[in-house]
Amino acid sequence: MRSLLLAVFCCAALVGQGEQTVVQGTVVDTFTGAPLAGVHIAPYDARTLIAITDASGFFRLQGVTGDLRVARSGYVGVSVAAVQGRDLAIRLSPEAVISGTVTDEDGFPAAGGQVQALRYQFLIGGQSLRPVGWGNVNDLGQYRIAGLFAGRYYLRVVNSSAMKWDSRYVSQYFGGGLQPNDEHMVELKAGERREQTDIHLVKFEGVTVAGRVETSPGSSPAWARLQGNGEFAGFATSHQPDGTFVIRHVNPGSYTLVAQSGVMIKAGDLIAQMPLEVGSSDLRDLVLTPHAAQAVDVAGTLTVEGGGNPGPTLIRLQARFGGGFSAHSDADGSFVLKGVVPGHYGVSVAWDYFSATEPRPGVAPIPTSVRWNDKEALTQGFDIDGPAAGPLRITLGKPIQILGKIVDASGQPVAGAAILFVPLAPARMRDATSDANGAFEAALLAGDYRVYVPPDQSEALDLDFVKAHENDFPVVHVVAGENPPLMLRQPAQ
Amino acid sequence: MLASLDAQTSGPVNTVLEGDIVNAATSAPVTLARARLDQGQNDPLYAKADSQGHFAFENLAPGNYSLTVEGPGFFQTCTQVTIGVQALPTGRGKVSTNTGAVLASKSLDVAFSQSTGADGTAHVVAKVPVLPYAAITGKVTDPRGLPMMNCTVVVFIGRPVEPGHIRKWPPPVTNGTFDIVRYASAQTDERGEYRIGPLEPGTYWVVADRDGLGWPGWESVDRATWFPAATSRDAARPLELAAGQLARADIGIVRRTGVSVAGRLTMPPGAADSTSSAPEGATHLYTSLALQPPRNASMNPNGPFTSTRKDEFEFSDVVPGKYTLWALTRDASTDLYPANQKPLYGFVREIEVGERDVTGLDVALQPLRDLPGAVTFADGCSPVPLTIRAVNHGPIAAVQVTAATGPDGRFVLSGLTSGQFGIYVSWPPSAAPRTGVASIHLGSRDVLKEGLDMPYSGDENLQIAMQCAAGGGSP
Repeated sequence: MRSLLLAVFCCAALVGQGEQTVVQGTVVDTFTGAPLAGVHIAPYDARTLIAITDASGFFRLQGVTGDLRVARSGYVGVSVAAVQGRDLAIRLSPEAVISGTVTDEDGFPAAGGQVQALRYQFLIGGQSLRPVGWGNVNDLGQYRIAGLFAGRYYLRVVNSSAMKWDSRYVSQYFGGGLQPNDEHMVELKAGERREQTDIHLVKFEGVTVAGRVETSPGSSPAWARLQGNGEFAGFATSHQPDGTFVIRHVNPGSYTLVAQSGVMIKAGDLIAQMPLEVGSSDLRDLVLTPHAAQAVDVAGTLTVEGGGNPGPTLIRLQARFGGGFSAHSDADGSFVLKGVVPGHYGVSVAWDYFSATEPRPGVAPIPTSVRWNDKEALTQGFDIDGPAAGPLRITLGKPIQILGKIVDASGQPVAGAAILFVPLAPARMRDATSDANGAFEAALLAGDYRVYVPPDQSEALDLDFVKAHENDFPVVHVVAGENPPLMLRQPAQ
Repeated sequence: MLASLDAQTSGPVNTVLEGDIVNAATSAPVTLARARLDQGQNDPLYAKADSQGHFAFENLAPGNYSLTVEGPGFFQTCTQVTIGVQALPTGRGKVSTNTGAVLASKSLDVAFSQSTGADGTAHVVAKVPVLPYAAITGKVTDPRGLPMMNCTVVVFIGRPVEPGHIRKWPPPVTNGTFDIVRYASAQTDERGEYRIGPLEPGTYWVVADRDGLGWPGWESVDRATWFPAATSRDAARPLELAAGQLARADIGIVRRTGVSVAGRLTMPPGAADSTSSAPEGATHLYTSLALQPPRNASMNPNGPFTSTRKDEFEFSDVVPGKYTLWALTRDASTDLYPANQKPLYGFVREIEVGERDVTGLDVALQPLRDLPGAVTFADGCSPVPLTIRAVNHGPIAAVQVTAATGPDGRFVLSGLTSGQFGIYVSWPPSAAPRTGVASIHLGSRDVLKEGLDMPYSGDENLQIAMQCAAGGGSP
């Protein structure tokens, strides 16, 4: 599909914003355009408020905000923003399903395994291969992954239950490799039911990680575990009362070796952490010396690029292995995160909706820089353990609201189109969906973006599609201040 | 005898452990199976059995081993083997699931024999039975017959009630004959189908309920439904499964409208002062409420939930019955993460919901307080430092708080939320063999048997009495 898209900034305001409390719209099949009846639409936060589309695909929900879940059996479920005062146009794609068995070299079912379907997705700082669908392997060795968009996928088998999984097999890709291999990608069409994609595990012994956790008399023991920082999740350990541990069959990769005395770390618990690069040889005689976890206050400042007041903002520290901390910014942009325990943290910011008495305008803050100890930590995060240094300096970009409209070759509005803004410089991808009138809006930082309109409303922008169509889509230049509406015209097919 | 002595003096004995794997139900050889031999922290040894179920490990060093035998469709059988002594190993094999959980009521005889080969090789020969497991499959559909995907299907097993067994809190759910214990769960796929196994022989109940997230096709009038189409476990049909049996349990989700349960929240006096500084008009307090059916009720143990930032609340589509209404108010301004938020007020009350809407329920929240306590040791026991744990068993905030006893045996549990708590006591390993809890009381309430409902309006302290075995004392 050649879809050379023409983009022009135009001169007239296109989108009017109503102030009603009703969300309504129509759901159709992406490919046939036929209205879909019996589609369930529900907000994430309220369990009882559900709309079901009628025979013409129409639905109406009263008094909702936030995101809506849209689901119908046989189609890929999507999440859409509940925009009020406009007719939403939602397109659902028939789901592809892949199924088969996973067996080991003895012909045994791979109990405790999970099969994942992966695609490249755009994240801050580049593309990353991420699971977009998964299914557990049952006692017969069968797996089944539903809810997939059309496209090419890598398949991988991971250990999802250390108790059941045969540790002689490390997590691996379909085809038997430790790395993704394009030769063994599976191409699925929309609505396809692909059966008998059988996976035969290849025995990889991996390497052994062994050592000792120093224990002090009278204190509760700290147990070691290996936590994956990248592709592979983690490994349980077998440990002895004397503190020695052995972790066998570890995939090469980047890990953190953690020993701690509690499940979720609290002040006073014992903790030791050691970054570990696992290669092709065993790592033995590692010694972890736990210390008492200290809860520290982390102070910081919030500034806006080019000056200005960020307004009431929530600052969140998200721990890599679960949990986190948050704080409200003061009027001058300063904040203190209280009682932060050791961990590896990423930073996110959001409107302070608890301090807000009225709903916010639609443009949320976007961090462009996070500096911890004067090192940039926006994409990689940072470690806290022991007395906090800091401060944490967060810079917010000024999001710019872009309004636009998408039409087809004959000038008719395109409803429900997914519009993706992929920054040319490393930054987060943004997306928008056109309404029944073809109108859309997006909040972007100043800069250059390639504006894609993929054929399918896939949440994960498929890297194949991007590579194949790099020159088919226009680059738009978003400047600080006001931008004229963005007109997108799809050429005739 | 002489040959054996020669072997011992002329170097290490080459010992072979071999065996045959048979189906415990039919005694037929198992055609796809393997054996694993574990010894301490050494890498385990594996031997795949041939198509007659025969396996062998050669050149074994003397020592104690754990032999585990498994095959697709069977539970594992695990037994201990000692290599290198003249006495024959004998034994019972423990039957366990592939997670290593031992089936309490099942063990199998593993027969051993021993022989010496012409070359002096010692052979230990085992006949190891494996128990075929049962499984349940089925399909979950809505009232129109359409598949219900992403439902959680749970199977419960009936365990015979042991007479005279001391029941500590939380007590098991029981129907008088059986304790009904959660055994395994699965999710329905996009066709509404599920499969749950391995299951041991026994009596099972199957229930389909909504998933925590995911499928929005589950509506508030859709009820957790027991096989084949019952909204209570008492009306459900249990399945009797024999070893190796595959049963089918299709479930049609039952729809039933309920009534509305609504009311108002009253904060304690001075509530506004206890929140952190906030802009004018901002609401930082939020209250979570749960309607919990009686513990032994045969429906979903976690009834409806709601939460509100206002002073009004409503549960919709509540089925008539008896409930405990719990409420917990937290200050969201302190932290976005509920685990870090300060619990402020709580409420608990029994209510009965009939066939009509309930309006104007008054929920008067009261401040949550710290719970102080004291430990006493029986005469003749030397006091040891203890750790006191309070674990919230729901229905709102699953928290756990701990406190250490001081030199005077006193402690303070702080950060308790609203809900049902169990109190657990632990002591240093060195004191373990001789120490035990005699009783835990809060006022007249026997906390060991009845648990603890918070908030507690009395002003008593927690009283923990410890005992020690005869001749006990300081370790």
